[in-house]
Amino acid sequence: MPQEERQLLHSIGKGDARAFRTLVDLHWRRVYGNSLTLVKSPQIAQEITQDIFLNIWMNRERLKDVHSFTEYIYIVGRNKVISTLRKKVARICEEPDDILEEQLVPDKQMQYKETYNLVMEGMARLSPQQQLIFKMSRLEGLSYMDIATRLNLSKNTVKGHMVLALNFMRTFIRDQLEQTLIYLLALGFLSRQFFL
Amino acid sequence: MPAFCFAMSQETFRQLLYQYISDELSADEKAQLQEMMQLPEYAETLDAFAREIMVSEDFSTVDSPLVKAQIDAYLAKHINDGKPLHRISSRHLLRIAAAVIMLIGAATVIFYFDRQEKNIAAVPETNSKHQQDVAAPASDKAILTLANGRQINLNDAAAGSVTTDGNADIVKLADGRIVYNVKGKSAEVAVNVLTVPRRSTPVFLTLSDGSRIWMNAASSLKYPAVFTGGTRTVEITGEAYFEIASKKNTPFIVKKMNDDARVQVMGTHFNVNAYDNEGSIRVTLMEGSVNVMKGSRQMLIKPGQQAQVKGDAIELNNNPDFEKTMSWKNNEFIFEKDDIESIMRQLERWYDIDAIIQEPSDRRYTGRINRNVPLSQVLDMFRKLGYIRCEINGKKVTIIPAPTKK
Repeated sequence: MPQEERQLLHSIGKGDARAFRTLVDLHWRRVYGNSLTLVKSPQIAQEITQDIFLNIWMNRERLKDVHSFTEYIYIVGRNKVISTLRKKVARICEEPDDILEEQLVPDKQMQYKETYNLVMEGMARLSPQQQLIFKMSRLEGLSYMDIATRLNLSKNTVKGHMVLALNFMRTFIRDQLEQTLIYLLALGFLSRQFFL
Repeated sequence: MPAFCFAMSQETFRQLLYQYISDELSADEKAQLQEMMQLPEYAETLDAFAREIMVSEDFSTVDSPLVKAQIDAYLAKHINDGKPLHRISSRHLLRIAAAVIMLIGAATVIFYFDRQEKNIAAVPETNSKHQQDVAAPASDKAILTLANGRQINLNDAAAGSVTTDGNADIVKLADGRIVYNVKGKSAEVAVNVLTVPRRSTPVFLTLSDGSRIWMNAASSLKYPAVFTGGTRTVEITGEAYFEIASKKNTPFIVKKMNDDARVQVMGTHFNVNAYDNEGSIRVTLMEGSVNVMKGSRQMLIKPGQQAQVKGDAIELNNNPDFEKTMSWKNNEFIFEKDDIESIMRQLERWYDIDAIIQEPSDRRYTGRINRNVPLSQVLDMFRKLGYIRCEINGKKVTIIPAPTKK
C-alpha cells in the first residue's frame, strides 16, 4: 500500500476525523460506482457507500491491520452487497431491467413526457463515446456485438461504456427526481422496452 | 459431477453475472441466472465476482455532487450521533485547574502587547485583567413553561415523571432527556414553551409524535404537548436540529417565532439556525424533504442543500458546510473565515457573556476547538495568531482586533 495511504489510515486509527474525510473524498466515487454497477440502484449504492465508510470509522482501530484498503472495503461491505445482488436477481424476471423502488405513481400520462425529457437530458450529458453507444443500443436497438462491429471496437469495450453510461443515467435521473414520485417510472425507461 | 463440467458451469455463472451488469440477459438467461444464484455451489464464485467488481477501478466515473453531499451529511450525522452530553466530571475540574494556570500565562502576554502597541486604545493595567475565566457550561438547562403559565426548572427536577399537561405526561429520563408521552384524550390543547438559556449544553427532547429535537443554547421552542389536527406546528427561535417522525398526511411545520418564515416537512432530518441576531435563517437538510416558506415564496430543498432566508428572499446554497452546521451538536466550535462579530455572537450564547468589540475589523478567522473548554482557551486560539487581544472581566469580554496588515 502506498505510503500516503498508510499514513492516512494510521491517522484515522487514532481518531483523526479530518483524515477520515480525506479518505472519503479519495474513495467515494469508486465505492459508489462499483456498488451501483452491482446493485443498479443509486439509492442502495449510496446506502452501501455510507454504510461502508461509517463502518470503517466505527471500527477504525482495525485499520492498522489492513494490508489492502481496496480489499478491506469489500470485506466491510460484502454482506449488504451480496444480499442486495441476490434480491435484485431474484426479481429480475418479473420486472424490467431496472428494478424500481416502492413509490406511488399517481399520474402516468403526465409523467411520461417529463421522464422522457429527463432521459434525453441525461443522454445529452454523456461523454461522446458513451452517448453514441447508448443511442445505438437503446434508440436503434442494436446488440453489443453489432455496435462493436460498426464502431470497430471489442465487445467488452462496448459493454464497459454501456455500464458507465447506465450508471451515469441512473444517478442523474435519481438526482433530478429525488423528491418526486415519477422516479419509479423513469428508471423503467432505461430498459430496452421503452425505446423499442 | 465430473470436474470438467463443474468448471464449465462456474464459468457459465460468471458469464451470466457479467451479462447481468451490462444489461445483456435474454429472458432464458435471466431464468438461468436466477436458478444458479440460489445454489450453494456457486456461492464462492458469486463472492469472487462481487469482490472483483468492488475492487475495480473501472467504474469510478460518476461524479454527482448531490450524492457526495448526502454521503457527507449521513456521515456527519452518525459520527457523534445523539449521545447525551456528560455532566460535571472530575475531568472538568482538571480543566478548571488548567485554565487557572493558563490565565497566569495569558496575563503576561497581554502585558507584553500593551507595551508594543501604544496606539491601540489603552487597556487599564490593573491586576484584575482576568478576574475570572468563564468555564464552559457543563450541563443542560431547560425551563419549561406549561399552558397555565407555571414554570418548571427541568434541571432541578428528578428523573421520572415531571408533570402532566393536558393529556401528555412529561417525563425526564435518567440521562436528562425529556420525553412526552400521550395518555388518553382530552379536549384542551396544552401549549408548552421550552426555553434553553445561554450557557447550556444542548437539550434533547422527544415530542408526543416521536419527533426528536436537539436545542442549542439561547433557544426557545413552543409546541403543543400533544399534536392534534391536520398539521404538527412548532415555533422556534435560536437553533435546533430536528429528526421528524414521518406521519402521512400530517406535515410537520417549524415556524420562526414572530415571523412568517417556516419550514414544512414530511419526515426528515434537518438543522434550523434562526437566531434573532443573525442575518439570516438557515435550514440545512440531511435526509428527507422540506419546503422552506417565507411570505408567498417557497423553496423545496433536497438532502445536502441549505436554504437561507434573508429578509423576504430565500436563497439556495448547494454546498453548505455540514460539519460546521452540526458542530454545536458535536460539541465543537468550527470557524471558517468568520469575522470576529459572528464568532463572538456564538461565544456569547455558549458562555453567557457580553462581548465588546472595540474596533471594527474585517479580518477573518478559521479554526476549530472543542466547546467544552473555558473561554480563555478559545480566545487564546486567536490570540496565539497575534490577531486579537482580549480581556475577560466577569461576564464582559473586551476584544481588540489587531489592525490588518497594510
